[in-house]
Amino acid sequence: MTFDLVSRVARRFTCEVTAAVIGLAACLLPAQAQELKIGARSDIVIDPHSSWAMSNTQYFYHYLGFMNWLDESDKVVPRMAKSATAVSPNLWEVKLNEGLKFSNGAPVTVNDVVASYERARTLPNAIGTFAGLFAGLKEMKAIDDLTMRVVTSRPYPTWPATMTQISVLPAEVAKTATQADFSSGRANISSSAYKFVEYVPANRLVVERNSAYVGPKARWDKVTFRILTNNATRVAALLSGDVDMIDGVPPEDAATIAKDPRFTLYTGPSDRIIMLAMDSSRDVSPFITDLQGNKLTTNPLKDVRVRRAMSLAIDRELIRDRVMDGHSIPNNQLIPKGLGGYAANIPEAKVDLPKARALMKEAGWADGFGIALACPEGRYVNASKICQAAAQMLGRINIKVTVEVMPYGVFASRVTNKTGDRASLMLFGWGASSSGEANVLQNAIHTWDKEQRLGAWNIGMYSNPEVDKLIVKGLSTLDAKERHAIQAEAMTKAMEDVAAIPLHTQVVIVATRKGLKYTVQANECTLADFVEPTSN
Amino acid sequence: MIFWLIQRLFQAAFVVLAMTVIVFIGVSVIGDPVAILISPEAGPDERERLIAALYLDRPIWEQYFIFLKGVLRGDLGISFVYNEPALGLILTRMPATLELAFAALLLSVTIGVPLGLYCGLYPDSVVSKAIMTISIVGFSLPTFWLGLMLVLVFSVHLGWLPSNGRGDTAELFGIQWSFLTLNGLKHLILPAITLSLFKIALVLRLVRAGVRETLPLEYVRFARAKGLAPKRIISVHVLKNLMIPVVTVVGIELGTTIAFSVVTETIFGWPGMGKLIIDSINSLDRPVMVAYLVIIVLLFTTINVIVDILYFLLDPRVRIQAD
Repeated sequence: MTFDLVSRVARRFTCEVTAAVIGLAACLLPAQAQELKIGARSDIVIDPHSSWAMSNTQYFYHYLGFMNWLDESDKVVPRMAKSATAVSPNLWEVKLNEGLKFSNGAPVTVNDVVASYERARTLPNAIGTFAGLFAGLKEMKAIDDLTMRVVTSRPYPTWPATMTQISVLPAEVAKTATQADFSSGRANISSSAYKFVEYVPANRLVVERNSAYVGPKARWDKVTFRILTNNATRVAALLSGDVDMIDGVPPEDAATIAKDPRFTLYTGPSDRIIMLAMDSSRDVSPFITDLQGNKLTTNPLKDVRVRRAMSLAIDRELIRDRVMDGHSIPNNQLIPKGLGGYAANIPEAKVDLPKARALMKEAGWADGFGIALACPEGRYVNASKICQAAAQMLGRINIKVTVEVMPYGVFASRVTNKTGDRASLMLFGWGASSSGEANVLQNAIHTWDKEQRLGAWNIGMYSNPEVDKLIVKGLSTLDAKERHAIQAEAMTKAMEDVAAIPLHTQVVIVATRKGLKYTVQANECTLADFVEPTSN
Repeated sequence: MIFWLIQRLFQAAFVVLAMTVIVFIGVSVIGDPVAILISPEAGPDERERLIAALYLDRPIWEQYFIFLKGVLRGDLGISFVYNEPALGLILTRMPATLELAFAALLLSVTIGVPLGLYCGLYPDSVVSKAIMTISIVGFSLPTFWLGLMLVLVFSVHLGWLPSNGRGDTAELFGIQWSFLTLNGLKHLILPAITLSLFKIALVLRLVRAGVRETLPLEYVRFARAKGLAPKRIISVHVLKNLMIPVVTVVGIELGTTIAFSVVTETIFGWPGMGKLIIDSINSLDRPVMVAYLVIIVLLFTTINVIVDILYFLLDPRVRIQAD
């Protein structure tokens, strides 16, 4: 009896020990490294069709299907789509890959794509609406389960890029889903490498590997995005080991992290450039004064020599070294190097004070003038610091700049109100993620034309018919190479005329713990499958 | 009592109404939410359609009446950013904030009252003087600095506690709470300390002053003369009288903590209402701002009513007056 009890206890003990040993072994195996925790800088608007911004799309790329993707250098690459062919100037034929499945087991058909795009186009009250992407679209229809036809009223060369922006849901979900269905996850049916697990607002998004996905297997079993919008908090989370990596590393913390042997810093050019836009159209610009502060009756910025002098007065390398802690790439045009529409022949933008002063003198402004620089805060990296630096640099050619920092919302409503006072000098940024090429031209350089939907963000109201003609020509050129050449020509002309003063390309800064390698994405997305464990 | 309660509720309703007017005027002068939220590449026609859909093209008084009509149906508006009901958005984040606020309150009372009592009873001891000196630090340190320092020391350098977030949660009454799991409790410690340090100092000083004031009073002397044990004198007679100002202050502090723990929540990535409101202000999400302030006013009024009821229970004089 006693013996029996002892043996029973012994047996149980052995079992427990065995279980513990197995558990321990499981812990020691590298398989444990299959969960990734990312400290992310932005929260999500969970309805995939209600807010068009790359900061949302980066999450959808994980757990929702897309026809195309943007690769790390903003090139369009097929994802669910097999091909997209321009049959005629106003007709795209898109083929879907065979055998694709949603995470609920249903096959992916063109009907799902059409219904999803229709939802993105028409979702009521979506303030960040996708509708702009469908301008000029006449019809989308399914020819069969795998073929979609897109008919437009004018040539739409960037349709493949448009398909990188809109997520695809099953048709019945796209037709009926409400906001609450996305929060609960019921409507988040994946045809991508991961699938939705949970979203806790302002806290975390969790996704796990989608076994139904037929493409390349997801790299991680589970990925948790911890939403940490505050810079210091995000950095602390990395330093304390709460997360494996963080995005949006503030430039001022980058050096400290890079020096720390426990972490690795990854940087690369973004597709966003920062520029100074100038009021070069009005005869009198409301925020330009003489040095005593009296309003001027002429607008010096109409003179290209003044604009050129301003560009020459700015030391972009100094801004990089002192303001951006080394994390910016001085630029001489409005599109980062390597993207479609980049003009290689534009001379480097170097500081040249004697020449700048000579130009000011030639233009009759040797004594200078006063101007207010409208500076949006909270959208671009170190915006107000860049403004301060630029103001001092312009001071060297006697342009007395007053920096007016304001929240982005105030800035945006003020400078885009075409009938209002707007501003005379503005800091402004433009990202090319939605097309991977110089769409800054039609949006911010072309003369404002409400009917043609051109120049909506031409906040300096710059106007140059010669440049306009090239931009319009580029918009209807289907062949990418040819189109990029036309864009580069327009860019060259615009830069010769100093349509705006390019400052630099922003840099994406990501930090990981040692043992992870990350490939930086030009579109500023943070994507789990570009994080690889390294051997050490 | 009931008449008084009804009067209170009317007052609250009026305050809420007045506040919505102020907020409405306030938010409408600080920029255009459409400009910040719409994609830069959206055309002018989408823009105009949206402005009309959100009634932003109407005069402000008309917008206000549309809002009031919604309120009567229990609809405080749809968030511009999240495209979901503002009220729901705030309510889902409320438990996190309430949990943090009550944790801070608990700390401030359980630490502040005994320490204050000690300092009041033995004002000349070295320990008391040390406590009083430290308490100066308690209410002069700004929370953002304190929070960051705590994170630096306990999370980054020592690695004892997590730096941010709520950690694991468990469900109680259909709501997720952090304090029910060990991991969640660990996450709660640093933000709760950050929020409570000021309050501990405040309660401590209040209690100390109260004790110093009450001890020489006649009823205490009488109790002593009657030969009551010192323990009973302090715990029943002194402490009960002390609690009246403490309850008032703690009540107000609780309200402020719930409404405005913005900084602490931001530093610790605590997914509460404070973080929501600051994000909403940044993105000019008017419905959320208005709904948030309506809820906060209601909250303050409720707390005030509760404080008044506590008076009622603590102070016999109030009871006599009411009768």
